[in-house]
Amino acid sequence: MRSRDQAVDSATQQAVQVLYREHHDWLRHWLRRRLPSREHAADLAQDTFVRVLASRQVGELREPRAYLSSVARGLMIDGFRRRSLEQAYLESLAAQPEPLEVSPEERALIFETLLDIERMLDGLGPRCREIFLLAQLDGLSHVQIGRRLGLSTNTVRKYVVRGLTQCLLLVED
Amino acid sequence: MGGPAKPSPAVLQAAANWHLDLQAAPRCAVLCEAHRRWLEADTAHRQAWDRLQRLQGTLDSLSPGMRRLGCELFLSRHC
Repeated sequence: MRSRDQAVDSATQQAVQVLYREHHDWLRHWLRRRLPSREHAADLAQDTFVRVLASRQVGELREPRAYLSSVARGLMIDGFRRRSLEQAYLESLAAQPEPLEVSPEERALIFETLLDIERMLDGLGPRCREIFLLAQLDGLSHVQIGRRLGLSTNTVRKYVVRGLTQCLLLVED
Repeated sequence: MGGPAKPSPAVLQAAANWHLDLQAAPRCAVLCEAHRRWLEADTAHRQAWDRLQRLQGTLDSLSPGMRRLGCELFLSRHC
């Protein structure tokens, strides 16, 4: 007898198959109007359904096309962010006065980590983001940050807590 | 049946506060004991703490040089 999880998976798979059959072409055309190439649109359409399948949040969709376009939009934004960050990252590496000795594999892993961090920073306001970065990445003490920005250490701590809390909301269990 | 409830923002904030308190006084026995009791008081507390450990692990995976580079990169992009 199949386990409950397997039964849920089967139901989700069937729901996504129906979704795919009924809306894949529509999604591909929707993406084609927003992306530079047919191939890119086809890839992103597939990625969208993979994301929907992995999320297991198919259920009874009242507006499947709105849901699919929302997922696809998120993937598009993520793609833009990835390319933009990669360019900035490579430029930063090239601009270092002393070359940082990292292998291509390490460089790729570091980039994925930076991408994860940037996604988390999205939810922070500018001041909170700055203080969070100075504290958590640059390793400055709250006293040092307070002196640099003209803030009390209590205020710095509040911003760091806010930043950590926002980031924790995005960390998966 | 769904899994355990996700930790609320208030619990996540508490975890963040514990993290900073323990960073400031890692050898304080009273603080460590209070933290241990907080962890055991609710499974959501442990969940929040596990998330924080994963976040810290992500940040710690970067070398000091890369952390500095990352900080400069993000400050120039976002601030």
